[in-house]
Amino acid sequence: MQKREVVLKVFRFNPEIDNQPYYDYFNIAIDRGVTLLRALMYIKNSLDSRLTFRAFCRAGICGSCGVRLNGRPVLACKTQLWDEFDAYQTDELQVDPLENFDIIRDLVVNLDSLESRLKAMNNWLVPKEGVHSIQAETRILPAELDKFNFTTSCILCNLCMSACSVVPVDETYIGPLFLARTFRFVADKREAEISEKTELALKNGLWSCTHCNACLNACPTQTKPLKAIVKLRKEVVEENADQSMGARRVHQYASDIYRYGQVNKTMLSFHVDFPKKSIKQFFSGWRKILATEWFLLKHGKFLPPFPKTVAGIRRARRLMSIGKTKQF
Amino acid sequence: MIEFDVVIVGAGGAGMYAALEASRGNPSLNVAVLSKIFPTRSHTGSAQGGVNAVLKNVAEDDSIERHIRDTIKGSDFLADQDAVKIMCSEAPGIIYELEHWGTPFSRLNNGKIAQRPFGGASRPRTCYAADRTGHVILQTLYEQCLRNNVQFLTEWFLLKLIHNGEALIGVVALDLRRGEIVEIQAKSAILATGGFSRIYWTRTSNALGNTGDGTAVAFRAGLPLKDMEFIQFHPTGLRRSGILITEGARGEGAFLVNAEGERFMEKYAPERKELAPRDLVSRAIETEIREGRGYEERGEGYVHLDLRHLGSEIIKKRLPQIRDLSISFEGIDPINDPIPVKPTAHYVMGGIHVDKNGQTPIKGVFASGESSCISVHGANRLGGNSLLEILVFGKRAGKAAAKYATEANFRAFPWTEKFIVEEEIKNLLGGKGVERVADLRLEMGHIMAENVGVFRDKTLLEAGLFKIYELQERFKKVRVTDRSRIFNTNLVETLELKNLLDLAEAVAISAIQREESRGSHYRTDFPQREDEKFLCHQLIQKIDSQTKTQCIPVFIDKYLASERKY
Repeated sequence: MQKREVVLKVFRFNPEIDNQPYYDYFNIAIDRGVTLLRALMYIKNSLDSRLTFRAFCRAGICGSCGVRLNGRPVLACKTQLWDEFDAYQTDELQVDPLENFDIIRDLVVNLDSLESRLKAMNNWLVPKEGVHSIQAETRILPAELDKFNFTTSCILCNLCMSACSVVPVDETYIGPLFLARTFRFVADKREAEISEKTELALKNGLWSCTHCNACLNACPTQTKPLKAIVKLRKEVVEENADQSMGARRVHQYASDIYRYGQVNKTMLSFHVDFPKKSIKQFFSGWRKILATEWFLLKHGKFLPPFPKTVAGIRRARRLMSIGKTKQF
Repeated sequence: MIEFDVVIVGAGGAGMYAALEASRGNPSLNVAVLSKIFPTRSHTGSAQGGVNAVLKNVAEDDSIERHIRDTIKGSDFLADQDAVKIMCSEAPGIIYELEHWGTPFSRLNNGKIAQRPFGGASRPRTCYAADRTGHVILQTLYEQCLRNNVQFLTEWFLLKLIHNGEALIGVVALDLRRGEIVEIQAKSAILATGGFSRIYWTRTSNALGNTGDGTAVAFRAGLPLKDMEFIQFHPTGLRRSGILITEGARGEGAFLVNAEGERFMEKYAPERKELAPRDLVSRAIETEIREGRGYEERGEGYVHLDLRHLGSEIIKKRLPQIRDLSISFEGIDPINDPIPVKPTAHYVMGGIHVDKNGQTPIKGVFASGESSCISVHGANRLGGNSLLEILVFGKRAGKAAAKYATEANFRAFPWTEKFIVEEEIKNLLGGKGVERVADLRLEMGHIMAENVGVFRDKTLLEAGLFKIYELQERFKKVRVTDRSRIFNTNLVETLELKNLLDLAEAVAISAIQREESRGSHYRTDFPQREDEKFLCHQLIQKIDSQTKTQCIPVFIDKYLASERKY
């Protein structure tokens, strides 16, 4: 069988011994079919038994062996090295621990946040009392199951948490893994505490996700965290439209575009930041708008509070109403 | 030293169900689960096919009675019939309870839980969630444990079980992260550390860590193990990695085909064909390979599992994970090509000797799941009964352990124990040995597969046992290169190997003693079942550093041993 000489550049750090992290270069020969995990195990068995990483099922189902290969989070057991070397057109690939976690040693990171965040989000099902009897199952139609079942393939591997672009910059954002899980329960007809769970999602940054797609690309299962987040947002918008900033923003965008074909930037803050709940809020909203306009005017700029309707608005409106009736 | 009323070792299905039951039953109890890996990594998550329960959702004429009869027949009459009755009767309630907690079982068009046919089952009664049933059950149990505030000691490794010959005192464990050896005082302990098919090292479907830590620790602590000779070889492991292709694939209608293009199961089990029990199918495949009708690659034989006639629709919908596994690990898409498979060590029927409540002969020490042996699987386990066993008996063990802990007191921890264990570890770390863990365990796997494999005889077994003794001697000169305290996986794999070698010894001795063929234990020198002499469980125990075996009767109710035909 065809062999190929390659180099794995592996992140090393043992806080007991090393002052700072460094990279080790391991020369190995691989053939087709060798996974990254097998290569790491070969290194541990034959070259350096101190190399430290997690692995368990070696079949892509337990979620232990997440690392980064050339910066991209992967499950080591499911990554075919030959193909990776081909794809990068190189003889050297770099292996790092997952990002956004503290390092315990080499490729092993501290995952304590996994348990605490699942707990913070109530990521478990609270059964509806009385509806269920232990003598029979709840009837769930296949279509009702399909609504959320893609998220139940999540293996808690944390690749999405490593890939996420918001987690490292926004401490209040709990991360795609946990929001996807919340969606899983909120969309389950057996769940009793839907509003408690959406409340927690809102508190923990449901509207902070930037749709960067990184979690979708990193996910080794069918979970599709971003898809779940979008669906969870949709549920929140539909259920309690004016209760969160994100939901109000979505509504305002939609109604502005329907009306003008563009977003009314001047009034956006008025609707989003100052929901018309009280006279006080109404006035402070207007005060802010006027202050902003005055500031702009002084600098020779002016944003019209009622923008011009764009050309072709009728077609845009027609498209929007089609969009409303279609399920995606 | 830390204290818990109930300490559970192992966070798979059995351990977590036990934890849940113990904490729900008596909320004032302090319950902790200790696991060498993060709970949802446990091997329960790898169970693909499903869990058996008579719900009558598909076959209305199914009955608990049929489930009992199938299980006993499958076990080659070695299962205890009272225990089987408990398991089958409590099955529907357990499934409804899990469903109630949100387990996403696949559904029929009327919204009821779907059920599929499975090997050795006379009716379609295996509930499933696509082909990741174990995964979703494990997730559900973990979620509910979090909801019930069960404490987890994640990445702690069990080192020793301490008892006074009568009752439990506690356990000693290694906190991997900090590299500290910790004494844990407990009123009751449940060992639920899973199986030990890793004695076959690479020739197994099992995870890297299925090293029988709890079973080995119990064995060294003088507790009896039971029916250790019975190792189930799953017929369809992937050719290269041993990774499993679920029986669900055959349940959906896949064919087994030899190199001559023949659907050979028609010869061995004319009626059930591919859906005969696992021991029978594994022997059929091995026979085909031995008689030259298999395919061959690098001197190792295999046959084909053909799914192509099912069509891409069914494969994608009902068997997505096995398609994924075939593509990732063999580079073969089962929609276009047959999957190369061969038997792979899959499950150990034997384990720590316990009763129907998981109670061992030492008070306060319980065991559950694959690490234990009640026995409900006898000489051969039916597919879909392992998930069922861990759920039913995990729950029962949790209840019994909680009850015992409520009534019992803490016992004084002998201060010497920690030093003894520390000294052992220090010796390993400071050793100037020449033997490498990786070499020893590879050899162990090879010996076990060749000498204590699908086909066995006296000469092979005795040679195998001798070689295991040799390995145990060589293990004394093992070298642990990694001397660091922090997350020392080199130390852990060394301790795991020690566990495996002790269990391999117990398996080989038990296999030599049983001079008959029954279920998964097939002796070419004794090809017949000998009910008069061997319709009994075999205990193996260390008494004053001597290994002794002993037979105890099987509980027989109304199902008398008859010929096993499929």
